[in-house]
Amino acid sequence: MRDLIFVAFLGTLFLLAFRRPYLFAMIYLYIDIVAPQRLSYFLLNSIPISLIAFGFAVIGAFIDDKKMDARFTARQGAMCALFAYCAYMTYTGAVSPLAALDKWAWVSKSLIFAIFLPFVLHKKFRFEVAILTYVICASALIVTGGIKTAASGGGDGYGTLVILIDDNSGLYESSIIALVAIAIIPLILWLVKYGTVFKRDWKVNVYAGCLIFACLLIPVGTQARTGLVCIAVLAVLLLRFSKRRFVYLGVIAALGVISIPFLPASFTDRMSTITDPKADQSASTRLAVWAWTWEFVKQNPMGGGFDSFRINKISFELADSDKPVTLDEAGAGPVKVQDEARAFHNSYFEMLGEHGFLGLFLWLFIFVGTIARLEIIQRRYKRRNLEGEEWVAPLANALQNFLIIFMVGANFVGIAFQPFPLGMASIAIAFDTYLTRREREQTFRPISSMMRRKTASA
Amino acid sequence: MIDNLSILLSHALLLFLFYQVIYRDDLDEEAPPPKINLDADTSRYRPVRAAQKVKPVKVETNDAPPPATNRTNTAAKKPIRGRRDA
Repeated sequence: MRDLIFVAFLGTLFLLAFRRPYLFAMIYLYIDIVAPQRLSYFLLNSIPISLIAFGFAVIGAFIDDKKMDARFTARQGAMCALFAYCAYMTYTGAVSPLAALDKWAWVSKSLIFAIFLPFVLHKKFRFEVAILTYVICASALIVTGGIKTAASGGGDGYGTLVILIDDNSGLYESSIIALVAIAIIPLILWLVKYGTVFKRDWKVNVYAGCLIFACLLIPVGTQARTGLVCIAVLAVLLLRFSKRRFVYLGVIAALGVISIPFLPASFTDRMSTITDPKADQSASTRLAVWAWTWEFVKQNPMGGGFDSFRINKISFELADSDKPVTLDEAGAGPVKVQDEARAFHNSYFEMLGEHGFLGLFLWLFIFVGTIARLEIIQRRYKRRNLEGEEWVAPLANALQNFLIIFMVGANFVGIAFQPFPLGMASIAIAFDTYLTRREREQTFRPISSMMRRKTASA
Repeated sequence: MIDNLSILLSHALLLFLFYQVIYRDDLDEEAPPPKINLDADTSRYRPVRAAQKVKPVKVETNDAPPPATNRTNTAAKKPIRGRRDA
């Protein structure tokens, strides 16, 4: 039954998109985030719906009457260079060729779409539609996770909260959904204030409030430490433009204190390991993997291709013998742990280990460059303060906050090529291009008028 | 049950978004950007660097300074004969 509903829903979306071809790109986003083919048992599994949506999106972009407004930027160039470099490493220099091919299958799609997306977004309304699509699709997972957490306290341990399906990839992975749930909060706030599709009224306010609450519950339910760090970063970022900073700080502190008794014990136990990484196996493994990656990249500056971590063999000591690997080891002093093929759990080391210094540089250029451009836009448009441009600086701020939270969260989870942050960087690139074009239009003066002025002054 | 509720809610919102995009042309319309008059002061539209900041300039003119009079120039006051304090 669910399958038939999904087929009918997708069919309706495709039919509607023929009226506005750029909506095919939004259908691709929906398939990429929600992955309806994973939620269904037959029919959709056998059809390459994401490829079909992308094909229609490209055709739609070509027949779009406004395609001349599209520009190719340096950051898109960096994405192209990264794409070419990843392809080269996958096919010629990967240390685990089969695993590299597996990862390349989805990374290539993610990068191509990120390069393509700015070509279809060249209006304020389209930015809003793209951001709304992202938020609504993510809400499909966040709402269910939030309700389950509120009702039962979430999972018993890390990764045990089942959101729609028991899967460990994309947004269905605990740390990734925790990071994304917190990072989209500034975007939800922007949509509430400046959205035109869902204009601000009590219904929008109530839904947005509930969604933000669900977003905050996701790190509790998933017990992802990344989520807690992201909440702290979000609190600091929102402080930047808060009008009453002391009141804001007081409210945040009060909410923090009030929420502690309601938090499940398993969550507080897990969060307490943040301060003592040597006592926690997961954190100790990460430190050992990062040390291995640094040594590996010193010998292989070009990196080892996708999933190069599969060749690692690490050993480390757990400082606290009260938390042993096996029960027999309790109280026997530091426990020596040996492990192999452990993932990077850090996007920076992921880039470094997989694509070396060049890959890391290109990746940083895309994301840090975007954050820097958004800062410039925000400052400039705050000063301009022109009528009809009130939405610009807050959108730059919301996108920037998303990317900063992502960059901080990326320290704890390997999500360098996840489609969600890459898509947000694409929206930011399109937004930047759009503003540059508008500024040119604003100050445009035909040559004839300049000639007239010259003659008049003479 | 909760999963289905969440799927239903998000998909209904997405469908509504598509419907709005297609049937409300006014949303897709965009007003032309407000024109900036380049003849006027445009400093607030551009980033200002320290070197570009406007510094006060001394204006030199050929007009002679106003002549000093006894009423305003106290240094030029002459003592009045016959007064004790002179």
